[in-house]
Amino acid sequence: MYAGSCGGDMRVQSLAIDSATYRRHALHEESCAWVEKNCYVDVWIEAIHALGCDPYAILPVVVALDFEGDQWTFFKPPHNELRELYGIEVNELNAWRPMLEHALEHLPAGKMIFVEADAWWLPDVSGTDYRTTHVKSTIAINDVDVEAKRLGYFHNASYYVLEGEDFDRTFQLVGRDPAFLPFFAELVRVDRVVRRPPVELAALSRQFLRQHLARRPRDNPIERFAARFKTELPELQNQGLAHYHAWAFATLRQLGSAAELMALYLRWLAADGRGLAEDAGPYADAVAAYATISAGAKTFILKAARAVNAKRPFDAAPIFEEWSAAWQRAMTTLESID
Amino acid sequence: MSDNASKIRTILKEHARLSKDADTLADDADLYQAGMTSHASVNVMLALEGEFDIEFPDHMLKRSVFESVSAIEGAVDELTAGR
Repeated sequence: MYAGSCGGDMRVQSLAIDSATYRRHALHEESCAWVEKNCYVDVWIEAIHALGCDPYAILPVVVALDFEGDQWTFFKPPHNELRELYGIEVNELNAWRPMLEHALEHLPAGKMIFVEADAWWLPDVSGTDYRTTHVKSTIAINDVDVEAKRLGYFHNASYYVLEGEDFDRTFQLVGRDPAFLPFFAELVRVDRVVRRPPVELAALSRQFLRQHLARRPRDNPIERFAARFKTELPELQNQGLAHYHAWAFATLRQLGSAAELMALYLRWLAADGRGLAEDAGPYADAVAAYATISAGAKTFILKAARAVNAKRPFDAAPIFEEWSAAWQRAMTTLESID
Repeated sequence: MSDNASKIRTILKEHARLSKDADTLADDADLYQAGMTSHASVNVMLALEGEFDIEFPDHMLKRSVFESVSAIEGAVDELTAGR
């Protein structure tokens, strides 16, 4: 699994992956309503998958999703769960020297580096930010060829390669701004991975679900979101579509993708980690409730865009009432299961 | 190519941010596979509503309606029928 250094000292890899033949995990297939969840959890899903493990087990954290005022929780898998589920160790990387040197140090040792990068230089997002917008996004550095100026990296829903100027800029090899501060980076040890049998993995994951359920919001966060949207709509209309897209990314996208993840996760639990159950048994009501929110958020993004673009009234109350009831139904169902 | 299909391709050129030329795409080519993000699909929907003076009903506000030129054309034809 671990490729180490190959082709001379100038190419280093953590995992031997060919971007041309890499197959993304099912959670990132085009059949998903929300192909991308958030950049951090997306990278984890693929990295865990590439390690030969099942990433569904990291999803319990999603159940504690909350509306945080200007965004829904940007959910991240806790480090202790990564360690207990898969034997993956995560620590902050002390980025005291250039990131390329860190990569050359750590990749051959069976580690990956998760680091924030400027999406301006990430060609896999040519439909959004590549060469148009400076925005940070988490990537996992897996394969570096210094001579060829080529980087293999996990980002969003899959595994990609960037080259040339994108390589130089991502590693700050040219045009270096002395005032530039290093992005936050994590050192991920994947040399002691534990690949548990499905039933064991699901049982362990179920324990984490109980823990996260216990710290869920005490009220119904959909109701807070509804109230906020009602007061915020005029400002959204005032600020226009570009602002709306950023708002929707932080709110509706997180809520919708989280709801879809929970529906899928509960089907995975119902199947004891062996695929996805069609009939989720005791979880079925919660699965249906989360599916309602997921599909609804997808539609809502388009309806609200129209209201913002045309600056016209939008009575979202009936939609929020449906989601609020669905949220309550999901919580009631999950609370009743030991 | 129908007049509507031509207008749809023009809108895709302006708003879908495809990795391929919208004029060379097959009618049934998957636009998401061709690089259209959900972000871009919002702008495509708004542009279609403006161009054809239509409003997609709720049941059409889903991924599959915007997944290809032919799917969009089918929806536009349905909403403009009888004009």
